[in-house]
Amino acid sequence: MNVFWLILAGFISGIIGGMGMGGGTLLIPILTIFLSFSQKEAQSINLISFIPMAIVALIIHIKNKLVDYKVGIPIMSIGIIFSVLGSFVVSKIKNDILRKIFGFFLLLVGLNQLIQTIITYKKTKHVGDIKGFRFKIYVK
Amino acid sequence: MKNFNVTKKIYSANDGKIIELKLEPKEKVKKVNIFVKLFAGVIIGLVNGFFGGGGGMICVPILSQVIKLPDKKAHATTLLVMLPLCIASLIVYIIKNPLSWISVAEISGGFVLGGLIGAYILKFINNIWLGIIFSVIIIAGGVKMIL
Repeated sequence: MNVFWLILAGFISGIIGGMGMGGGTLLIPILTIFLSFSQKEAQSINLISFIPMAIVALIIHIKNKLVDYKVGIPIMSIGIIFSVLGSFVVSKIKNDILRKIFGFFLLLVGLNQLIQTIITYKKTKHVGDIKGFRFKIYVK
Repeated sequence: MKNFNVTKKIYSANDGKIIELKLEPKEKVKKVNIFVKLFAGVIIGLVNGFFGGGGGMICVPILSQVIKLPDKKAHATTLLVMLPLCIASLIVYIIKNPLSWISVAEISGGFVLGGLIGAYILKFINNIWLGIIFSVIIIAGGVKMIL
């Protein structure tokens, strides 16, 4: 398989991932639809790709004291157990069935993202022009 | 304004380019029932293990909307949650389905490079159009995979 396409696939999803929008949800369909990876291979590759950036970003966040351990650690500890459980369940499922389930998951994620984006847009108030700048305010 | 954190994003000067001000309520994280956290862990873990990712997309909204962490803390704490989860499920994936490591190196290398650029250009990009384009692509990918 052409090296160029592999790097490009990673690169495009990486840009989206770096923006915090879930690069993995993009990497997996690119790998299976365009580069004919099996669904499980694509999922493993996605997990691997996430790790190096997550380590770097996490170190920076820890230094900036942005990590809330009281919230994070309980979620993480129970999450590990169920994540391993989920991975074992997947190994029992056939690739083509998993691919369809994943497609359905993507559909939900995409619709949710679309709705969230529209809600944010509606909540953005254009308050007026001051010296040639346009001001927008997001109220949460 | 006492109860808000104000963040300004200044995109660029002159000719109508956008300045954005973001008001976020100051932290009112107090007591969150431990069961809420555990339940969140169950859902995030299952999804992440089953789909080989996507746990972060559930974790961030749970932390920011249910547990009421401010946005930046929600993102940072999500990484703390997701990193061990991904490593744990990756180990199971690799034991069950051996991979060709050469293509993995290329894809992941591209991903890291793209990630750095994405984090950098984030400041200059209109989130709303990006959000719409991204969601349409994801929906199209989903439909293609189901069919």
